[in-house]
Amino acid sequence: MRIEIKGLNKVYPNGNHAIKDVNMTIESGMFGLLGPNGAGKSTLMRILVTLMKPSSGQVLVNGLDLMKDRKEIRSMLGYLPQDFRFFTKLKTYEFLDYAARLAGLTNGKSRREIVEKMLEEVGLYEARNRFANNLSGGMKRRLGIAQALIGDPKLIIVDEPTTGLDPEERIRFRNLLTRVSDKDVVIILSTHIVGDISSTCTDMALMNKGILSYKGSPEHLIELARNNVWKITATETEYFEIQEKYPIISSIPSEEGWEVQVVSKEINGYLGERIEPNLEHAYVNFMENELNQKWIEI
Amino acid sequence: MRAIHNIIAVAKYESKTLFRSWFFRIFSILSLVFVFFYNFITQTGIGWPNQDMIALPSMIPFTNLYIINLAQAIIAVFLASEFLKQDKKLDTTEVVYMRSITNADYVIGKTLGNIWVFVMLNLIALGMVAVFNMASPYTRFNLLPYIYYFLLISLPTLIFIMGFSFFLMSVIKNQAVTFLVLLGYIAATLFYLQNKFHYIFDYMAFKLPMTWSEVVGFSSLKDIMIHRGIYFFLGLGFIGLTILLLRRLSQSKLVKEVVVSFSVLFLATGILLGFIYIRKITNEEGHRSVMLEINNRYAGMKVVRVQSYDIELEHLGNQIAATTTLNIKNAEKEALNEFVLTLNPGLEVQQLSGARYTREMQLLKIQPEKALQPGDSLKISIQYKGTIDESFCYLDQTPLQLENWKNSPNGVTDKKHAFVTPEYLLLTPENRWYPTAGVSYSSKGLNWLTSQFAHFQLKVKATKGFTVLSQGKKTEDENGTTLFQPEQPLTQISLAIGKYQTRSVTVDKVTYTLSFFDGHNTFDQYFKVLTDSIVPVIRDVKKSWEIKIHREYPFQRLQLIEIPVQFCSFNHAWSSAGEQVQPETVYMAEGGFKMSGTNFAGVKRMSQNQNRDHNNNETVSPRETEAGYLKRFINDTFLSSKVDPMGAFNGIRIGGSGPNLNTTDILNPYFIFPNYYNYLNFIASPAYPITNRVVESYLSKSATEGGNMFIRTMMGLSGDEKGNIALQNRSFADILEKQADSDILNNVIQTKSGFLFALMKGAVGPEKFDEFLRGFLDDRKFRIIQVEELNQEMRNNFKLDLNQYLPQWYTSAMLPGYILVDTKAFKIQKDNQIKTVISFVLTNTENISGAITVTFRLGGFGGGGGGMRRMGGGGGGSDENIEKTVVIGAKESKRLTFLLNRDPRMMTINTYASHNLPSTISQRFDKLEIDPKGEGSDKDEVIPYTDGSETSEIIVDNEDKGFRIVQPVSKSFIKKLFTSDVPDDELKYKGMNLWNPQVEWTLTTNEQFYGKQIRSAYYCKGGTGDRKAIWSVPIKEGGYYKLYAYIPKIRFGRGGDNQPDDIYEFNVTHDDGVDHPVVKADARESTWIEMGTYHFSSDSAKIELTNNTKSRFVFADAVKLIKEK
Ligand SMILES: Nc1ncnc2c1ncn2[C@@H]1O[C@H](COP(=O)(O)OP(=O)(O)OP(=O)(O)O)[C@@H](O)[C@H]1O
Ligand SMILES: [Mg+2]
Repeated sequence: MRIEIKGLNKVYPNGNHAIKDVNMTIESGMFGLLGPNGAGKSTLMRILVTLMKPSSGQVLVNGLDLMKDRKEIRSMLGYLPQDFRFFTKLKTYEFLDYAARLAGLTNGKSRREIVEKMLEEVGLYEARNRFANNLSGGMKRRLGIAQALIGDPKLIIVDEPTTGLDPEERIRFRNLLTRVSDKDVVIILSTHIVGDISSTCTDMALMNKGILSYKGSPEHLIELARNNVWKITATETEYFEIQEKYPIISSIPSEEGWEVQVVSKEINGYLGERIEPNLEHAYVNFMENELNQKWIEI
Repeated sequence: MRAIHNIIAVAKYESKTLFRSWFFRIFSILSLVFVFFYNFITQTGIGWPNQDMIALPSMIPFTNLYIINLAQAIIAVFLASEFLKQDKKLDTTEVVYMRSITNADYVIGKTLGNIWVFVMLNLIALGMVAVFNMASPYTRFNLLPYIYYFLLISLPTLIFIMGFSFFLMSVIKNQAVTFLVLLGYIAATLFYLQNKFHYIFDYMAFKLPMTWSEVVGFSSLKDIMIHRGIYFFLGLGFIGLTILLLRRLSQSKLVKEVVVSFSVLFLATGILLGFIYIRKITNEEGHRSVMLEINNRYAGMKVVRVQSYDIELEHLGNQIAATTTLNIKNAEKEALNEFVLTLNPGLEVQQLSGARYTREMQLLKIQPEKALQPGDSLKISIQYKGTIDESFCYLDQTPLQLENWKNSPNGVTDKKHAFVTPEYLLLTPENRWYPTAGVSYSSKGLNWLTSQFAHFQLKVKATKGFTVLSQGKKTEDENGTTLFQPEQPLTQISLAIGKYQTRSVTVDKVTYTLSFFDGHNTFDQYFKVLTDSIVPVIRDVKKSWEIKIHREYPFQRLQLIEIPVQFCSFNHAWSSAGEQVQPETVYMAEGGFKMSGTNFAGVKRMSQNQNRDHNNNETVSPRETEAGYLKRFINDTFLSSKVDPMGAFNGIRIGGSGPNLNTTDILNPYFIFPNYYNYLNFIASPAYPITNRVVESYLSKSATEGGNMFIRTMMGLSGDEKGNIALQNRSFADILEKQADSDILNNVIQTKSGFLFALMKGAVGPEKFDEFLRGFLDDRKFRIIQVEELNQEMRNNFKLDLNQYLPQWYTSAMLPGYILVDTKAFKIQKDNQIKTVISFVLTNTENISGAITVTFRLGGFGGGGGGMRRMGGGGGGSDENIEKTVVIGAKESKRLTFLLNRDPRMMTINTYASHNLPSTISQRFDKLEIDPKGEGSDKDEVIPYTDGSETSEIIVDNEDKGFRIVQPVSKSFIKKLFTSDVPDDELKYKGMNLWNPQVEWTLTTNEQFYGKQIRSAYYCKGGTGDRKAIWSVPIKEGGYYKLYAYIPKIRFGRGGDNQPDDIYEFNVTHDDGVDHPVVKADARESTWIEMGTYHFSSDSAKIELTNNTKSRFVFADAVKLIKEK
């Protein structure tokens, strides 16, 4: 699987330029999409799942044009929208069955098996006869994931799939995706939980204000942040100064005062040491230090 | 394949969601509960049987579906508009939209899902109905109409309303607006468009004629399918447009193109069907006007007499083939080179021997070899074949009349005038299925009007197993031909062929036969023991009827024949006889549909209830009960001139309301009367062709005396009054020519006829005159009577010259007008007997002489006409009435004195056509005292002219110049739109409806109102004081005046009393300010009520009455001022 995005732009009817000239290629595997609120992640995804037309540009999915070959592309899709709360009056099982039918599972018997298996995998088997509207927020999300994965889609696009999931479920979900991503499948997920990406994605992109500002592996992003992450031990007064000067990742009160993690090139005399960056650090570092410098691509 | 899979998936879950919505559940439960109870009540022995359903089993699915369909049409609109709104709102829509499914699959799936649920609901409801139907003790079960009505009513309605609402919702994109637009559309079709434009907007088939007969099915399945097809295809087209308008990226160009072409195709088909539908009707209208134009062209031509007909007819499925030989005579005073015959234009002449001929549509122009001399005869023989072109019938009805014809006596809106199908055949004279002399109708006067008496012989060849029914002695030969030979010359002959069963009984030389369709003998269960005792019942009923009508049944048989329900006949202005009544024959609607007399089940049910309620000790034997059913059937069916309005309105599709409150009399199409007049007598009058109709009206009226007062107070004016109002400033001739409303026309004829005969009776004496007239007619049966003959006889017998009355009666717009004053009533002792003297002064204020009839109702009980429907029994009451007719000259006053042997309860003066409104004046008499000095004898003396007015009084009535009403104009545009059309020739005075009083001041007449001649008043509903009536009383001389208001006493409701809190609030503007006298309307009679004494200076006094009252209604009538000495 291979998705090529060329010169993609989206201007909403109200003049909002949500995607600005995005170019990238996504290969098989799990692909993370990171970016602050309003960056254009959902917009990009909605274009990819044919809910919306781009204003200009081209998207090729395995060489198929998104604008022309919707029928084929749609039959490869699995999609979980960011908002997934309001259902028609259908039961959990029925909703998934509906999705399975539309995903092209025409054989009744095998469809039933697949649906039941999927319900078990997302932990909703017990709740299969409850109305979907009455499920808890997290359970709805799980149902959303289930319907996105049903029917073996080749291109899975999930918009913030893990919001609202408890930690145990999150791990379950990651494993589920990882299992799927073994095959020749593209999974694009957007998230604010950086941990989701670091633990699963081989490739990722970072978007900001509609612009694709980073595309590459998470490791490389972390590499960029090396030497820029510090742990400072600060007194109460210093702590307030630091707050003014540097983006703080975390701060823990300690006996001497505070233990603060910051992202910065230097720490100008505060008492501190460099620490090993993680993806979260890398993200903040990137947003703070790299963004206004130059376009980086590996 | 994939498409079908997708559609099913969408439909499945769409229908699931719809089925689970509370809105739908509540609706379906309510409808099923309603259907259950409705059928439980109408179709089980526990409830009340519905006569329509008993008579016509197809009414069962029809009525049920009709109600369900209306409800679901509204619900569907709501749900359909919800459909797109939800799509926008729901998150889950996106995960459906990104699936590989075409927009077409999606929308079709959704639509099917919705329709499926409604279809299921329909089927469940119909299944339930069918179970009730099969278990019903009253009637038969027939599956076919269930299927037909479902497919023709429900399905197209659903598809159309869904498609249309989807489409509108896609365009307007706002649910509330869409919903309003659609509801507006539904309301418009229901309340305004209705049958307008030939039902073309009736997408619900709410008014579309769709009666299904067990004998012939629909009157035209093809036409119905065209109409329903319009909406079916438009619906599909709109669904197509919805697909194109769906806000989702399409995924297949090909599908899109297919959808575009199908949408266009469907919409075009719908529109095309609409054009076909309308064109058929307009073509027919065009065809009719051409035929009428041809008739008009030949209407002036001399008409030959056909002396005998010899008809040989063969029924060939959808056609007939006939050879008719006519013996024609020239009865005119000049030789004829050419004459015309009329034959239905659908019948093609194949050969005509005996003369040369040319055909022009319905006319056959015959040129004899040589001119036909006066008195000479000619025999021609015409061979023709074809079917009946029904648009030829009733050329006297305008397109508008045809379209507005809804309150049909049989409650069916289908208009079949003939049946020629392989299963059934019915031909009546209106079809002109055999050639008749002259034209059938002309819009230019009435001079073409004739009725001829001819000897008929009819030989019919029909399919084996079919029964042939016609007039005359019937003989069947072995090779399947049936011969009919009527004993007397007849004006016409008719023919029915079908699968009939016949029963007959002979009573006093008349053979009564009943022919009903195979299997339609559900009535048998009500006649189990009567059998032979039917003979005395028939004998009794016939005898008492003939005593009333003073004539004898002239034929040897009377047959009652069941015909398909869609048969309809319009009344011609020149005759009261409809096509249902033929010589010695009455054609009865299928199963007795809409005939109150056939409601045996209802009567039985009611008497069961009564017995239970009263725990009756006096037991009625089953035989007496059954005799009661039979008597009631005969009375209601044959012996009533009008349809009982309470009985006629039980059909769910009938019911007119709107601003026109005047009741329309529905003539009973089965009234036997034509067999006592029209088919044995005809009075020809070249100068006044309406004469025959006037005589007919007089005879039929006298046979059915007794109006229904109940109807009058409830729904409006009586027929006589309508006639009288119409005549106020127009002559009879003028009305005959221009009046389109046949109800008003009939009333005018009746009023005028009453007036003419009152004049003659007044001159001769009523009994003597009646005896003469009937004798005259009896001596001249079965032939044309020239009016000169009648005139001659009258001159000989009474020195009375008709020509002395007729011209003015016919052409003058003048009417007499009467004032009645100084009534005295007392008792005297004379020759050892107590007698009553009634005396009054009657003045005719107009320049034309007139006649009145005074009727005294003596003793007895129960004043006015019976209010409630009588069940069983019949005939008039046993009150003794004394009737006197008095002629009074122009500008003449007479003191009339009557000496009566018994106490009178009431005196009623019928003024016929006069300026008096209402046209009757009545007076009740309470206990009368003996006046020892009193004297009196029957007297009729002319006294000096007096109009009875007193100089000391100043009266302003609502008819006077000083009166006016002030009220806001309240008719909004919408309201106007939804009230059904007001006829152009609306009457000035409206009826009064006290059950539901008009909000606006409405001018109405009543005997209880004040008025010198026109006893009228304005009435309106009690309100807030926004409506005022103002009397400006001219004051010549200033001073103190005592003020009175006339408060009418209208009996209404139980006990007939005004409520105690009926209060009238007046504002009186006088010299010292404004006073607000309050008048309580608790007097027992209508009367002047004093409101105090006020000082008025010269000029005028202003008295105001407002509608500010808690009582139900207010009358604004008259005020009176009397100067204080
Ligand atoms: N229908 C719309 N019409 C106009 N502007 C829109 C519309 N939907 C989104 N936007 C705007 O486009 C920009 C990108 O929005 P988008 O939802 O793609 O961001 P996002 O990256 O998914 O943010 P989040 O992390 O909050 O989900 C935002 O500025 C948003 O306000
Ligand atoms: Mg988003």
